[in-house]
Amino acid sequence: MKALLVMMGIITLSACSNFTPKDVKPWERGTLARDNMKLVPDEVHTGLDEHIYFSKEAVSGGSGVGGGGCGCN
Amino acid sequence: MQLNRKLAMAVGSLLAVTQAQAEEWEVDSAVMLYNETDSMGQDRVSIFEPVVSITQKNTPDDYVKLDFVYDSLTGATPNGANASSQLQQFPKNNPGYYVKEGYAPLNTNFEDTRIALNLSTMKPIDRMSRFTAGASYSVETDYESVGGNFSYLKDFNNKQTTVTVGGAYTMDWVNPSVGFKDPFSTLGSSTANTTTSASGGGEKELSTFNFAGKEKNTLDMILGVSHVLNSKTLLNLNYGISSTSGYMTDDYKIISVIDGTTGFAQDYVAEARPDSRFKQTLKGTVVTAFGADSLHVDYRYFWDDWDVTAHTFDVKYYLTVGEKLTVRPHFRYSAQTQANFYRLSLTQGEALPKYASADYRLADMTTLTLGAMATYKLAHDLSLSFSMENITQSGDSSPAEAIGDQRTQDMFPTIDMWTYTFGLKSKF
Repeated sequence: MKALLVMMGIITLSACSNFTPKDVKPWERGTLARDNMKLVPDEVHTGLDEHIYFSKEAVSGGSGVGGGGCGCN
Repeated sequence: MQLNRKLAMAVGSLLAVTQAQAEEWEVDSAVMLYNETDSMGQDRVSIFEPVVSITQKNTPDDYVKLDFVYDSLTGATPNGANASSQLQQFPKNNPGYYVKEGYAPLNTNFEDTRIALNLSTMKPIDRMSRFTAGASYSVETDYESVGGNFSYLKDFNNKQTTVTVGGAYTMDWVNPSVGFKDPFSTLGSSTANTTTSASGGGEKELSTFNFAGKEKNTLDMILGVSHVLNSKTLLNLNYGISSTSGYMTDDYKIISVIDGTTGFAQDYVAEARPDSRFKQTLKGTVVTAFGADSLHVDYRYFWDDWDVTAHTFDVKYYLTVGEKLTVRPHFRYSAQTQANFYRLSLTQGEALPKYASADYRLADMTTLTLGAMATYKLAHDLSLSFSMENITQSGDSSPAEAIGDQRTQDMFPTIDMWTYTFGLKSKF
């Protein structure tokens, strides 16, 4: 129980530090430059997923402009 | 010693700059296999979809990209009519296809091919701004689309904040193999209420640069703000509008016209959709690092003048397992409300509405996605990936508006989709 509380405390503290606004100097952007920190890290996989949702739901959009139309059945 | 350190730093910076400006080619490719079944055990659409994306990159802000997509679809797709405890024939009084008692009617002759090309570029304007431009073309046996897009990105606040303004214009031509139908005309009726499609009814060949058929034009605009919150977290907020005018009726879809007491179909008629639609989206994204891992959380609110609203949540976690392997679980949940002209069926003897469609995609519905992807780095510039996802769509199987026999049937069979995607990414 104590270990769980300590772990939850660490996660909470870590999450807090993740959401504290701070000036970021160019040399502090190493983490932000990683592939897994891009807004869309897996463009091809995400594009395939988005095409399914576009075809199968009444809703679409929100991520940007571009791409082609589709007469999806 | 001090001088040596400074010299080493200077050489390091120079190397970094040289590396940043070096031309690099990136090939990102994938093949997706898609399979769809419903809760009645009926196989629906199967898709084979290879994608290749080639990027020539000078810096992250200076590239040219070409995407190629091939899409091959076969199988069965819902025709819009309701399940019944009687054997159903489509069209009702002509030879066509039959659907057994208790099954959601599917049109089993569905087959299509789609080829899409996208050319896009990003170029810097000055140290704090850049633009993107793109052109797209796609063709199907019964559909053609051409479009262009442009966006301008401006950095502020020591490049911690970026504002994006963008627009796209798309022209689509629809050319159904079954021809264009008059609104609410009887399926397969001998009266002259069906005009043949421009490519000749029933044609299954891809025909490029025809630009024939009924037209639909879409203007999209987006305003986005990205903000680096701290060295571990990035926030993004987009507001988008999309205005479409033109032909949006799906001539492959029909509506059951039922008896007001028994609920049995007396007729099947063509659907009719409005010729304009105005959609709006508000989407927020948080990307944050936990050690070598990263968490991506998206929320999108969608609303339009067809009275469709939707909440969509998307969560991905990039878990770094050692130096070469990344595992990415994916959860997505979307809940939409029905379009104001969505109808389960029409009732015989009642006045026809101006618009109506029984397409389940316009109904109250939830979509749940659970999946995972594994990416393995074979070398510094070569990685393989495999992803598997399950998508489930559910709606109201026993809606309040069901009448008579409809109450004994499943009015919204759950749809189960599986995707298997193999990817290969390389740089040279």
